[in-house]
Amino acid sequence: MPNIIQLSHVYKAYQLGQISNPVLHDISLTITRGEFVAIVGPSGNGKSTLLNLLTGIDRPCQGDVQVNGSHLQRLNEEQLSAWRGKHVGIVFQFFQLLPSLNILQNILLPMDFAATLNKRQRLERARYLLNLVGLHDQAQQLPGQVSGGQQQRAAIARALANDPALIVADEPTGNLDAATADAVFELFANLQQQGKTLIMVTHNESLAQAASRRIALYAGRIHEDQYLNRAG
Amino acid sequence: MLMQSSLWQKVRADLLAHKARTALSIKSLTIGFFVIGTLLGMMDLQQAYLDNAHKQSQPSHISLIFRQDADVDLAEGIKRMADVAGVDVLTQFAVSYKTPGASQWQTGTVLFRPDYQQQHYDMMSLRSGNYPTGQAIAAERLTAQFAGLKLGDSIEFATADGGQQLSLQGIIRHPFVKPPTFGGQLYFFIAPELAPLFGIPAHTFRQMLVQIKPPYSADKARQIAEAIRAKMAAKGIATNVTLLQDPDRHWGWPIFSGINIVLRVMAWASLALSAVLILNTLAALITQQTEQIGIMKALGASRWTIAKIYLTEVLILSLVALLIGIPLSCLGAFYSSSWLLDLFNIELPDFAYSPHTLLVLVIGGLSAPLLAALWPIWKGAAMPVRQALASYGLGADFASQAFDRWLERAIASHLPTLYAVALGNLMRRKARLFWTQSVLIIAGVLFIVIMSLIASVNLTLDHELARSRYAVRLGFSQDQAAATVTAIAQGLPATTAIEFWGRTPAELFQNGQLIKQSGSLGIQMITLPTDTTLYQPMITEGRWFERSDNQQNHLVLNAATAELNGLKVGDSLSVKRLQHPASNWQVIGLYRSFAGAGYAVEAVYAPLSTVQQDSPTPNRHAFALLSADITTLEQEKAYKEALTSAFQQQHIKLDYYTTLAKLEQRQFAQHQFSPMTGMLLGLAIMIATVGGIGLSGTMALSVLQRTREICVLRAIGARSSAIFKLFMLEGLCHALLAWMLSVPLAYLLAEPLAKQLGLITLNIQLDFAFSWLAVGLWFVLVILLALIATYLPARNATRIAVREGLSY
Ligand SMILES: Nc1ncnc2c1ncn2[C@@H]1O[C@H](COP(=O)(O)OP(=O)(O)OP(=O)(O)O)[C@@H](O)[C@H]1O
Ligand SMILES: [Mg+2]
Repeated sequence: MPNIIQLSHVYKAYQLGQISNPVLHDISLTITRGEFVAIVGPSGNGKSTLLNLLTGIDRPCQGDVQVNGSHLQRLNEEQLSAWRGKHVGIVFQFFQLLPSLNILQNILLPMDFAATLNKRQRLERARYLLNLVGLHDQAQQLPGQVSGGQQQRAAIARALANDPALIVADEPTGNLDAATADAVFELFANLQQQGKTLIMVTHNESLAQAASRRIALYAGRIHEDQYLNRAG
Repeated sequence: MLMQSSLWQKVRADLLAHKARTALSIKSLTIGFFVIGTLLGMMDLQQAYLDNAHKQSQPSHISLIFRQDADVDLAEGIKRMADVAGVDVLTQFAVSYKTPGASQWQTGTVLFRPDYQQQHYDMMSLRSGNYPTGQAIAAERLTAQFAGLKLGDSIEFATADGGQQLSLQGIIRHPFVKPPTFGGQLYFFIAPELAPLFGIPAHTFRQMLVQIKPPYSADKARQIAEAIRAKMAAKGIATNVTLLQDPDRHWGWPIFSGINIVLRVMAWASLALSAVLILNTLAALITQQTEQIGIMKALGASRWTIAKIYLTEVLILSLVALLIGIPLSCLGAFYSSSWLLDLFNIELPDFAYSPHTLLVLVIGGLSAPLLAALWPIWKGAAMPVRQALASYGLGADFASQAFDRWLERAIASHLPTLYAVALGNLMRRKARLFWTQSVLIIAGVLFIVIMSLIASVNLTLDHELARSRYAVRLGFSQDQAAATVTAIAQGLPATTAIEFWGRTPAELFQNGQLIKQSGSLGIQMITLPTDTTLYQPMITEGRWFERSDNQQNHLVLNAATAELNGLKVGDSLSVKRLQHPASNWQVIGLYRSFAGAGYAVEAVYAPLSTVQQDSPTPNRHAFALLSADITTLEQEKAYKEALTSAFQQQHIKLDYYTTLAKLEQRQFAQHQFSPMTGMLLGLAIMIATVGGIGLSGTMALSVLQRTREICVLRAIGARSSAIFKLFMLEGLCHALLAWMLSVPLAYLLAEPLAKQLGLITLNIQLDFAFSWLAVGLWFVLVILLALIATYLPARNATRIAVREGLSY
């Protein structure tokens, strides 16, 4: 199946006391494997909410969310946790590395949870990922001891730990300066070339233009959906 | 302290919006107030009622127990003596009785006073029913409770001519009997006219209670006691035992002072616990609100304005906690003191509280949290805007100190990731760690010390036992001829050897002055063969008797008494024995006395052959020590019973108080100590529980503060079991750390503390034994405690929905 994500007629509203506040209206969306999707849109228009539905962090009120062959509404919280560990890598705006673990251990953590590789294999993979993101020298440092850009690269390595098919990032460059942001974006582009599917929310229009597909959300609906030729 | 309504609004919102945190804070503070209030109230109530009850019972200063029954009229002469304020008489003797339904005879004590309506000292008061008259008897309140006796019960007594059923018609409180839980016997009261039934002449007494004219001093009491003894001796009544009693001190006082030491330690531990709880909650509040603090400062709030908001929050929290905690602690103090004092035969009114404790609680309860909060709040409110706004993510607080980086490099980086997270989290909040640990460590040290105390008591008893090689010591009411006793004792096949010992009341003078006694009991000269094989006390200085001491004026003296009088081995003393002129004696050795077990007169040991020289009856003796082939308590009991009946057949009366069997005595001593040590152990476990509550609070807060971290872990694939394990591991780390720190500390403190506790509460010099068993037990206990304390917080952590804490 070439489609990795299939949303059909997804509706989401937040209940605030008596009032129901609709956030996403009737979203249907298909994303094929290997795409690099940038999601843009003004603040408060449901971008993060959409990502939460894709990762199973939140559930839709109506509609069906299918990711990598799983119907997420059929999984309970416990199964979702395990599923996420294997199939989705999440990159956060504020990195969210565990402060008391060093960079290497932070990357090992998802592999420890998933427990698919043996100890030696995990260490090997962690070192490979550190190399990939250019942090081999920082392996033993604590997050508090490295820069924001380095923390974000460590977070990306952590997201890749279990070799997930899908990587989801919410404003991964929001806290980085322009040069560092470009480096992080480069990393994502490389991942796409390796066959990963990437979905990234960004406020940076030039980064969005460099992705392979750009989806603009407005008032909880897909306002624009365009495929871009990635000539570089 | 007026505040703008917007600030009030914020205070309200903070408290209401974070219900879990507010509830946790109030719960924590309430527990702190409750524990401290209960402990302080307990100490206060105990002290007040113990002293009060003691004074109300009009304690006698001197109590003399005589060897013969004296006519009641003899007391009149003593009453008229100068310095004697008043005299009461009574008789106590041992009996065998059977309670309804019991098949075995048991030993108890019967007491009668010439007129129960006219008591002056050691007042025994009627609780229900009537004072004994005719065939109706009464029982002591606690002993009746213990044996389950009710009014109307019929109790059978072994009397001079067979058995006799007597009806229980009254319950009496006797303030000076040891309750059965402390190894005391059952006490019965009879009418004086019933005495002949038990072979005791009517109109007589065997014990005299005396109060002296004020001012009271122990020395003065001793001198008067001496004068009374002389006067009674002149009428042909010899004194067996002299007891002095401090009019201001209840007999349970030493035990209470031991309990109070532990209570005080507990109060301090609870104080530390409260500090943990208060600091925890505030630290949580401040860290959760750093961003808000930054924003408020950016909007122009002064440091004081911000501090005011949080101080108001603290004040409101303490107020609510006090309102709940005060009534709870009053009830706690009342019920725990009632229970404790009841063990000592002291009753509390329907309700009592300590106003002093209440005052301390209100003032301390309102000010202590504010004071504890002042520093973190002031520091938090001083945070620069930039820093406050820049704190995001999972906390940049780790790695800020060299210690954290060292920990990471040296230990954590070698651990599996989950263990490393737990260890890191443990070390993240150092103040909280310190306080939580201190409570757990105090509990651990106390537990090990008290267990060591118990081990030491047993060791001391074992040592004492090893020095006694006799099976039974017979004490005769009247000195007996050696030949008669030997004939009877050898009639029993188990008997292997017999030794005869003697006793004489004696007074020791140093430079013409009566020497001071270390105990309150009189001194008795115990005379024994110099080559005795059956007993030898523990010699601390000089030596024990040898053959060459025969017929010499040589003494072995109590070491405590020697120290009190500055006496050394080689010193000379003038000794005045009953019915003998004073003569000069030399101290050749000092022994360590093992007090605590029953009524033991202070013994001065001397060679039997010396006193035999000028005795009119050199072959009559007060004691016979028998060794026998006996290994078990049952064999010993049978042997003793056989002996008793053999002597009864020959009409030789054995003295209940001085006849004893070795193993039975050991068991008795152990029983006597066990309620005390049990109570101390209970207190140690209570402290451990307090530590558990502290740990539970710490862990609950840890979960609250790490909501976001939990969500991140969830987002990268952690299952509930992993999250649960993570927090359980952190709790276990706490326990392990506390255990590792408390063992060496306990090892250092156990010996001095256990010896001190032994001296204060049990009045014995202990041979020390460190309890390694306690170290192992404490390990199990503290791990269990941590598992229980962490279970709920850890389970709550698994219930946090991922979305709750995740703002990407
Ligand atoms: N937990 C929540 N409860 C109620 N309403 C919510 C919740 N989370 C989001 N919303 C509302 O849903 C709407 C969409 O929020 P969302 O976080 O998806 O926006 P966004 O596009 O990611 O904005 P931004 O670019 O600022 O991150 C907003 O109007 C917000 O108020
Ligand atoms: Mg967003």
